[in-house]
Amino acid sequence: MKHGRKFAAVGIAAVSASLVLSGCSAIVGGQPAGGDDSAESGTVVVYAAHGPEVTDPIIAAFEKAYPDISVSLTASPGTGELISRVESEMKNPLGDVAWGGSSENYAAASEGAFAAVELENDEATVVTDPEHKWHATDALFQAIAVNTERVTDASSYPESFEDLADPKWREAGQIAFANPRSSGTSYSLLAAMVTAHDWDFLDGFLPNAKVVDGSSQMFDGVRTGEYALGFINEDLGATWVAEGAPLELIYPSDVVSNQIGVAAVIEGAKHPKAAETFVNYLMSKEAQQLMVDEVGRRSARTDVAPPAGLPAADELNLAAPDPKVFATDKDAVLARFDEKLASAK
Amino acid sequence: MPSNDLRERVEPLEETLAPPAPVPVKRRASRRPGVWLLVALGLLLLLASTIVLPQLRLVGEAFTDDGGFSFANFIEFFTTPRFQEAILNSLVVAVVAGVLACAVAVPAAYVLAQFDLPGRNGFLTLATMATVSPPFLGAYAWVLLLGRGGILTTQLRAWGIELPFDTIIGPGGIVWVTVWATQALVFLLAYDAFRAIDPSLDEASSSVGAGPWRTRLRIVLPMAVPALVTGFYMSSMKIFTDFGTPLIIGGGTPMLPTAVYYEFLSEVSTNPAIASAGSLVMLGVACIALALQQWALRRRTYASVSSRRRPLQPVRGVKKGLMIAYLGVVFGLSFVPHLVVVGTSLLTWKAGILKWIPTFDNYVRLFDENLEVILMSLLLAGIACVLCVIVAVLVAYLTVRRRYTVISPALNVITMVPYIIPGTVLAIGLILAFGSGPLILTGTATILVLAYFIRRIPYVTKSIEAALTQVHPALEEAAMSVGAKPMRAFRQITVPLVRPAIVSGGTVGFLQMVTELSATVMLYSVPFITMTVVIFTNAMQPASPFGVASAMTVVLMLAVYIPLYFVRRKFASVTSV
Repeated sequence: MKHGRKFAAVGIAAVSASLVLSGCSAIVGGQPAGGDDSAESGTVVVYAAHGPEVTDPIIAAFEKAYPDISVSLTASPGTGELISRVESEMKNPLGDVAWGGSSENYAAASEGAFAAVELENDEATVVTDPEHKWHATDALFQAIAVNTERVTDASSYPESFEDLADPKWREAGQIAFANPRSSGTSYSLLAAMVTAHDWDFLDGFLPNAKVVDGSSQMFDGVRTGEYALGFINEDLGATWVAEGAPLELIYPSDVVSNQIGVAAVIEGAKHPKAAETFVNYLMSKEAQQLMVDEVGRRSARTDVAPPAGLPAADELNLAAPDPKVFATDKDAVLARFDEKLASAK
Repeated sequence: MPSNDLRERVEPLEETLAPPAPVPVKRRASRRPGVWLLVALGLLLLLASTIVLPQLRLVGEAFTDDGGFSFANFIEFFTTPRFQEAILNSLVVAVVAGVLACAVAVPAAYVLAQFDLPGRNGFLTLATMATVSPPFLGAYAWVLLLGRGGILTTQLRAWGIELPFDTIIGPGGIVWVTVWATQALVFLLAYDAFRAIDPSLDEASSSVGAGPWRTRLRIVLPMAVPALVTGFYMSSMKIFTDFGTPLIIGGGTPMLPTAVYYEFLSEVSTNPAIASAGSLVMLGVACIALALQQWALRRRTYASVSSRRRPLQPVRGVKKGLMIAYLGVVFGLSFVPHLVVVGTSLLTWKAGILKWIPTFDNYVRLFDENLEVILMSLLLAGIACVLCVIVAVLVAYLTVRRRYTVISPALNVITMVPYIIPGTVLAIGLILAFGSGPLILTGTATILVLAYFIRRIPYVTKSIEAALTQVHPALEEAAMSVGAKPMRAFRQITVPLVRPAIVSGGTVGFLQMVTELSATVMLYSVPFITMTVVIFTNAMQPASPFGVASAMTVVLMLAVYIPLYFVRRKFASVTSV
């Protein structure tokens, strides 16, 4: 009897320990069912840094084209979160595909996060990864956004980055610029303006700028008039203009920052074949046409025209920052930015 | 009889870290040390590995540079201007918000405690509801209303009314949101303190010739100092550790939780070692704040034992009207966010732009696409809550009744550790401890359950401990004297006696788990996505379906307020017995 009590006590302690430590995932549902190797059936777990406006139409079309593969989607608030998640799961990958974010982000991810695979549709895209890890799914340019309720005189709209360094904006003090530490979009903008001009350009630009936390705050802030000017992803800007937002989009004449949006198969994915099928589909003409028609974003394919209303790429002065400076040593670039920011205050 | 008022259990901080009232322990109670000793050791192992270990990993990471022990991360942290700014901003905002929350709440609590005003229970209910609101709700709603292009700002401008500020976005906005979100905590603490003051003290004061204001300042206010100290501490710590609010309404103001978050999870450049150092700095500030709070409490604790209930003074006319108006404004402002969310959930949003077209579409989409998320949130919080209650009951029993010389104090201290761990810091510790090594939990539901369990264990334990100190051990001993074994006596006598505390402590724990964001946003993964994550993700992505996020916030509020309502009702009936 005495021993029985002791065992009961051990039992309580052990049960509470094991419930916390291991049991719950089994109760809650655990991991997706184990690997399937057939190309066209099963599940594909997609981690996306895109909002539903991008994922919904394309996944719906994919599931129609491949009725045997069902997509399980989880959206991250940003590319940083997405890549951190993939990296933190490297020893036990739970996702199959990472979708969304720029080629730079994916190239900078830890070794072994993404699988090197060559896909059929790779060669149709404007740019391919020499290491075959990322696959181009869209192209994204940034425009200067002017809130037309804040800046009423159309003749004073800036036409280039250079114009944004004009002290006249300091009075308004209101060019929203996301912190390039937290926003990849802003990092590209920084790289573009420093490449087109030089670091001293920031001495004129930063005093006019309001550095905000993330790109969403920058986009939203210009739309709502929180800030008079800012930068915006062209597809979102065009959507908002169509919805009646008081915005004017201007492609800077000196340089236009741009990113290649990509997707990748996660290394060690539980459903590798389905993952490859999905990523390959994202680059297909059908999916790319959806990207253009439904999302209003540029295709990464050479044979799909840009969305109506967006200028052709060859009309613009596209930035091509030196990867040796801006891709390999981000910390040095950011430290230099911080210095310029501190002295601008 | 344990106090059955839920309000005292919402954040039973008054008792925090104060040793439980001494209960005479007879040797007889621990005649069979074996059973409980094993439970105690098991708990110690469990709590040490889930609470202490991750924090030690954090310490290790923070003090490591180039593979060796070093202060380099801290030196870098303290010499980098953006972190210096973040520390300063966080401290200033915390202090200012705490002071203002007290300034707003104390007069409100005083008039309601002192005067016979209509709607007393209504205000108390509102205050309780406000203390369990989703944490980031306020920021988003206020930006929507009072941002430069906000609904109210634009409307007022159209009517030719100029606001004294351009926009609510900025450090002022953080303070504003925090004041209205936390004043209810201060209010409830202060209300209870004012109600507990012995009426004969005021009478004595006026009998020696003091006027009413002098009495208020010299007698009543000092009696409420402990509640004020605790209330101030709680509202300032809430914003000091809050992650969602500064991100949404801060307009780029560097604050510690966001700085640490981005240092750990940015798409551009991360540095986990600096993030760990920053986490420890946050932890250090939280420790100092707690020590100050305890020190202040010790210096200024007045006890007043009164045999009679404090009478409510009648009040009439303009004075009465002003008091009710004041209470109305204070609670009205606290509930503006809730109204905004209900309103926006019934309007059409296109590409993130509000259209003034009423619709139920958001709810239809919510239940079509996000039903799993709702169920997942409830399930995760439910499991964590059950575990929390089980462990809390055992720990409380071990600390109150079975005072093993080393193990019981150790358990008591360890369960209190999470009280000062900010959510962001907790998450980073868990990722460091369970992202690699023998036990990998990242990417599972377990890590979320664990995080919720850890975050709430101090509160649930304290509320059960408080109830347990009021149950006389003689009851249990009587059971044992007629032959019941210790475990049976515990199960059949002690547990039922503290059941009200278990239910209310557990419910409040559940509510706060369901609304947890700071740790969840760093730990969640497919398919274990919670409502708070969906709402936050939507709030952070431009052009996202904000109407759906509003609808989900409404569901989240229901998930919080319905259980609260039932617990309050249940306890009202228990009290009247």
